[in-house]
Amino acid sequence: MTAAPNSANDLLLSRRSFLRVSATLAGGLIVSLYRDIPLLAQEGGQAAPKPKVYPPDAFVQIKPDGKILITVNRLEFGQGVHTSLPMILADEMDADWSQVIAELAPAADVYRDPVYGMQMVGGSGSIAHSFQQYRELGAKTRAMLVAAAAAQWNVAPAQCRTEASVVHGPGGQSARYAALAEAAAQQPVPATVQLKDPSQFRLVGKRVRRLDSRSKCDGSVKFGLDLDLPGMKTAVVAHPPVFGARVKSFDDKPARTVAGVRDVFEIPLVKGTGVAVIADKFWPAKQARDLLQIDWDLSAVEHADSAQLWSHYKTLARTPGNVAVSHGDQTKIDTVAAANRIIAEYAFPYLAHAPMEPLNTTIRFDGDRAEAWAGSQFQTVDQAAIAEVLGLKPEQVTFHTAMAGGGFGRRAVADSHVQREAAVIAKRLRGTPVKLIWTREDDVQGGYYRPMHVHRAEIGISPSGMPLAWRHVIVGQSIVAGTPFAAIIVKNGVDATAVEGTADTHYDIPNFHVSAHHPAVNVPVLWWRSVGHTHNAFVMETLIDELATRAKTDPIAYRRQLLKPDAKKLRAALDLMEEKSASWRTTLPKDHAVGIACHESFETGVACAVDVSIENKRPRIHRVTVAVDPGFAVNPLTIESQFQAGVAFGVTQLMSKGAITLKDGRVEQRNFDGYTPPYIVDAPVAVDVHIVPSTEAPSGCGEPPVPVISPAVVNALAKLTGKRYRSLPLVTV
Amino acid sequence: METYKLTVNGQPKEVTVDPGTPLLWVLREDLKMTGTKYGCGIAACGACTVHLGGVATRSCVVPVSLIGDRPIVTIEAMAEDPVGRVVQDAWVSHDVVQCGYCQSGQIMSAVALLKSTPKPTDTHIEASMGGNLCRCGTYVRIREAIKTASQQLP
Amino acid sequence: MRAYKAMLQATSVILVACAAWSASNTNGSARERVAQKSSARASTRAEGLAAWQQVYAVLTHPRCINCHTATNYPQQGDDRHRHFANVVRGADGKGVPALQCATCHQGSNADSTGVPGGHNWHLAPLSMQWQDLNDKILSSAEVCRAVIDRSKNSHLDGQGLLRHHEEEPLVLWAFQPGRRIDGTPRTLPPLTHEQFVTATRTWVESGTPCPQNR
Repeated sequence: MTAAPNSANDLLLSRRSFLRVSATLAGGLIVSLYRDIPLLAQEGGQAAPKPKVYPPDAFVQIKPDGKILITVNRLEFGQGVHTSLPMILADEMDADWSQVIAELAPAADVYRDPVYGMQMVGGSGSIAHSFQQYRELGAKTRAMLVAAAAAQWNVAPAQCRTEASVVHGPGGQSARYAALAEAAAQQPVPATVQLKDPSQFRLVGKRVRRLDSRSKCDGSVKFGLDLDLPGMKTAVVAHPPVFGARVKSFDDKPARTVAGVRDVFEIPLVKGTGVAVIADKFWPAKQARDLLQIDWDLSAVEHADSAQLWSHYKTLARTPGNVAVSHGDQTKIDTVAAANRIIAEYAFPYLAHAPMEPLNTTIRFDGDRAEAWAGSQFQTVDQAAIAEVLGLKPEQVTFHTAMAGGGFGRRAVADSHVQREAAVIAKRLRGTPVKLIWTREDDVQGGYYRPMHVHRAEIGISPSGMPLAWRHVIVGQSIVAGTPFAAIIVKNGVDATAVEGTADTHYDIPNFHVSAHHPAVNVPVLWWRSVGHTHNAFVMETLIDELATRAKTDPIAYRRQLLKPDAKKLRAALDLMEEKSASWRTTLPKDHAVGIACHESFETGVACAVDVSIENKRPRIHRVTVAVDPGFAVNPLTIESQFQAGVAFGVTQLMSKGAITLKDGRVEQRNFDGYTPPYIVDAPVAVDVHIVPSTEAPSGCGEPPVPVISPAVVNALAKLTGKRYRSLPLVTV
Repeated sequence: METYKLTVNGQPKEVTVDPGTPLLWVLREDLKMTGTKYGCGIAACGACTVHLGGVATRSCVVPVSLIGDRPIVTIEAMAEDPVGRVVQDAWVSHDVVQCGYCQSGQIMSAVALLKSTPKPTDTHIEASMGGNLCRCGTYVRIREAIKTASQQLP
Repeated sequence: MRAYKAMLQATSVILVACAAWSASNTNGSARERVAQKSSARASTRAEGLAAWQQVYAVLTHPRCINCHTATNYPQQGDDRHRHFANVVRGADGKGVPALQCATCHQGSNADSTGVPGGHNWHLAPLSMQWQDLNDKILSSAEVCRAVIDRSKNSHLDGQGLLRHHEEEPLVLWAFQPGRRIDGTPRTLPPLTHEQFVTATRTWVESGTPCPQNR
């Protein structure tokens, strides 16, 4: 069956994908999508891999009782894909939404992200990359159900319509999807299919509530940490106090006296070694670990030290680095008189992600196969890593994706270090499932932080108050160095994730020169929700604000003037934010101030205005008005949620105890008492979110809320105190 | 190891554990009740909140040996609790949860607040919920949901 | 008979003087207080003041002063930093619903989890603040004046204060404060409880004198 293209809104399938259908033993209809050439592999210049035969893993399963199980191809860790992706499919399928249930896909080729070619979640790409995919899946499923009904009724499919899991025929016939499922499974999978005109959407574009709410409110949802298997043991690992160090010797006699402890042994880590404690339950394992007497060999590794790093980074920042972007005349700035120059040095500390659910993985190794459970953002990578440790092929590892208690990037690790730890232990415990738990202390002290950064920006200001030259040096570790991602992300010695938000600015800055240094430091680093934008947006938006103040221009007007004409999303967001905050921005009490920031990340434009006063020597954020242009808004409720909560997450950077510091190689913070994320009193009291109407392809909303809040708040503080804030976290206001 | 008789959600339970074992781990691993969560282990985040003798209590720091005969109520009982149910419904209608990991504790704290102060002000809400961490940052909707629940309570 | 009458007179003078002294103590100047002292107390007064200094050293030790704050929060640790998790005083010094002292602190120390505990764990009333709003410890004279002020100290006289130091569970706690989460014992006040009680008794028996400097 083919559908002829008949309007600009028809989105026909590319030649690169088709559906494979198989009927289940239970009689339901399973539909799976086959994509034969991952985009990234093509861009990387590799030969297209041979098409694989995918297992009959489902995207859609219509159960005999009418329930429709939709499989989500990436981790749910708060961002709402557990609802939004099924919503998209259910809409095209004309499924009865009240009958839809969702599950998280295990690791399998069929669930790879269509753009990145690996099963993952990150880069705010869930909807952006899978919107089309899930629409096609839904439309094809519908087409096959209709074909089955039409065949039974001996009518043309075009004469049928569908609604709420029922096919209706031209002569009053009707059939429930559940009744048609087996017959539909026998239908040929259409190569192309017609998607709905957006005017036909019943769910997409609407504020649809989450499917997982109730179970997360009544204690019934199971996260990775909640897994319980017969005969399962629990493991905790003593990690070296300095990254990469090794065990020299250890005394486990006191540890083994703890009732319930089964074994204690040294294990290799990705770097260095540690000591694993195996027990019947967590508490004895932890007690025993606390009793271990370990003599560490700290001699062969660098002892990173924050004070030394600051000094080193500040020195580097005064020298040109590898060029990220350069246009115009980079010596122009030297011709500007000192009075018309800003020289600004910024400092950003290491940040821990600290997701609420500490890291954990459960693995059972049976010799010729294994089963693993983890709330993973990187299933393809993690499955392969476990297989490697166990001496298996990836397909011999059944990898279940558990619901995760947050991630923010912490569960997307190229070296799969937590999974490897668990696999090493599981290998030793062959036949017995083992749950590896990282305590909160392990998490806070375990590395994989947002890197430390120093920026040095020199701006020459023209008589009009606009920048006329801008020289910017960024110093910080490369997140991807040493990982397979380096080949794609590092160019000319510049890690794109370190300079994003500055190098790709949407401001029209003449004579703009950005360069970067990536020192190698013995601290593992990782992407932290919005990655390079976390620090680059802070620098840019505070400097722009400073320029606006110097030019005695309204901060919104200044940005509007300086943005490139084609910065469409940012301009739209700025306009909408200005409109929606007009009523309060000009009528604030005396001790309040407005702060403005706008920033585009992951192709989503965001602008916000914040109402801030100082209470108890801390910024009190009374209100945030935030406008966003995310392209077409698939689920406005999810988007609103992401922005209301994402700005609270962003406040992590401002918290007085919001820094990971090291002294002689040791992380100084231990738990939430020393590294303190925002509580309710620290977060904005009220956040109103406004979405720019759009028919462009959807872009992401997971990360875009984060970069704007910190600069907006300090821009407001600057008005209250007259100070400029160039160092995070805000220890004093 | 000692044997303790506990009352959990109205049911008698018996566990044999080390006396220093926090109630959190007794619930999770001995009683297989995983609704109460481990977030930090030092009572800084509230994910482990239960009601002990009617008092909102952070179970990660209370050793089982100090419980005595005080009844324990967990998130699993909130659907049957008149205030708990209203709070859960408000949480759902406001689409509060994101990852959801902190929400058992948030709800247990909110229920404790509303049982003591059925019509809390914004100040009350902020003070009582002030020690519950949400890394996703769902605080705005937590405030709104508590107010909705409050309106629906007598 | 005359001796007896004189003794009565002297006693009544002393009693009146004491009453006047304790009534005026918060408002009276140091000079007035000196004037009201009978010379019969001069020898024990010095001992009393010395004893008070010992008592003061205990009262202002972190194990005690962390709950004798002027603010709406308790402190914790030997560095007396603000208690984590936004714990607050509440109307009765016991916290607020869902975040009470009893939310974490039980009736005795929880050494396995590093949380101190004692019967009826709560903050001392604001009338018993021994530091200022900037967490700066008040002077010996200021603390002494507050402690003996019956309008502030729940109407305790000297004997009442002594009993309080002898028996109050949270006072006793300071001398058996349990272990931190890392297993190390919490720092103890500079006296044992017995020594603290002895010093208190000396101070009380000498008429609870306070230093005269501000």
